[in-house]
Amino acid sequence: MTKRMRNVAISGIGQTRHRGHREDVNMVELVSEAVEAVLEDSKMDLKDIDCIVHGNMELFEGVHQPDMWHVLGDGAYGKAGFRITTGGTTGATIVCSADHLVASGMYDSVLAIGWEKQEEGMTTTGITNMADPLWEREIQTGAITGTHGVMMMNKFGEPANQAAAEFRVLMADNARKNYKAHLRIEITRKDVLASRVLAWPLRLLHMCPESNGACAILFVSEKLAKKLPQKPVWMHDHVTVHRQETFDLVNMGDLDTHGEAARVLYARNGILDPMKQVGVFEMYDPQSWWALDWLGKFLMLENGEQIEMILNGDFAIDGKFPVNPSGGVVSSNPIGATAIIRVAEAALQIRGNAGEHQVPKDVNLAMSTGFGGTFWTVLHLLGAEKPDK
Amino acid sequence: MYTTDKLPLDQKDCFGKFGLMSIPYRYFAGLFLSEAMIALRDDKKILGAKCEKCDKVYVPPRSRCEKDFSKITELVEVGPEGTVEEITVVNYEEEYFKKFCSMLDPPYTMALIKLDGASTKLLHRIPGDKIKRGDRVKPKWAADDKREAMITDIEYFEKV
Repeated sequence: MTKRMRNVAISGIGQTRHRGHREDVNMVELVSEAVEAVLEDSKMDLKDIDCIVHGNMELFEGVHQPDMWHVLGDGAYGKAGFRITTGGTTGATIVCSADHLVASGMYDSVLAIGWEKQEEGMTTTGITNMADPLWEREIQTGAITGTHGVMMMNKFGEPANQAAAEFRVLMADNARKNYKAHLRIEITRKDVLASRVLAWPLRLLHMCPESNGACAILFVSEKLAKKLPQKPVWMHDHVTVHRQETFDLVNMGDLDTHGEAARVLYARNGILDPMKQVGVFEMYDPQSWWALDWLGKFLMLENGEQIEMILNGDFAIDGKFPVNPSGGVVSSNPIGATAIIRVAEAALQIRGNAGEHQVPKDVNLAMSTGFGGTFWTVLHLLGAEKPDK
Repeated sequence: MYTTDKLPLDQKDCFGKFGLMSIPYRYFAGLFLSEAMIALRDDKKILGAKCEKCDKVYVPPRSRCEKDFSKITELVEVGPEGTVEEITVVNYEEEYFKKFCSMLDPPYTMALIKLDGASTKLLHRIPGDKIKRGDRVKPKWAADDKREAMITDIEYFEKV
């Protein structure tokens, strides 16, 4: 257990419907929708919120300091505020920050907002700037890579190919139950395997979309949580594991930050068998090949057991260990919001009111992850009971 | 010792790479504010957004009152005349601005103008360097076939 000055609860969750096109609203209006939704969900009065933590991807919409601009519509007027931008993990890091700000006693209520209006920018422009201008920038290809797929194919052969496709189908099945998801498509394993190759064995249907969306979560002190109507979801722990930024030092084929984050989190929280003790897992899966490998890393499966589990349907909403009942990142990816959506969805599952994609059991513990453009991991643990109980 | 205009880049051992970062973007105004942009283009009208709760009229318009978070649904016409509230005189040309933005020849005045009926100030420019705070100004509209629903549909403001 990590040391907490005091307990922190999630008492409100708000999301937009994530869409490929939102020409009807501007960035500020998109964020407003999520803020309006979280105020409605929590019944919190905006004037009682102490601090806003706001984040999205650097450079994606070409707007400098959007946190300042968005005061026009995110309710931050006159409040304390921070901007967080840590690549793909942005949404997850916002949650870490909001958790710290309440746990420390500094604020009683912090509103965390992650958002992206990806149709307005050029994703690759932002991402290419992470690479060294002399050695890497002219060569790298942005977000699309087949390295994990190649590694999995080398290790496990055709069953891996089938499992990656089957996991994509499961995400689509789940997304169709989640009306906020962007891609709610009806696909078969055959469709996935027949879709266009991007970087073998990565195919178009394995890859996440570019979405527009925002997600806001209200974090409050225990005292305040008792006064608010929603069942509180308690923050238990979070672990961030970084790797160096440059490609030569990142083990791209066999990413090691996920496993390290899981080892630390499990050790600190007495988790010996994650699939028994954790009820649901919202994993940041930018593409299904990564999902296939990362399930193994997070769940400590050393011999590719996840392949058979996928083919058995063990990760389905009503399966042994539900993963991404929301449909995951391959179904909705407004990047700056993507990782905070994982936390929101994990919390909804604990609250038990996720809607049609609610898992059919009581969830005591839930995990969620963020994955960054610079190859790092944020892993959260949330619970129905207070962490010190 | 070197200064910013004498970097030692002619020294063959100090390799430097020169790049240009291009950030393509599309910006959607949103349905509500699109009406104000289209009014500039089609009707030569400046619209502000009026908060029903506090009566504040935002120019440029916006769909939320920043103070009370209430949704704004009413657009009202403001100006076209206004009063100069803040100024700064521009005496230089900037290479990239000139390349990518429309620009007046220096010297010209950048001004915050409170249009009649507005609660907030609009940023625009006024030719010349003889403008004072409190001067009354009016828009100089771009020709009918040049307006494209942008703030530059008003080429500049000029003294009444």
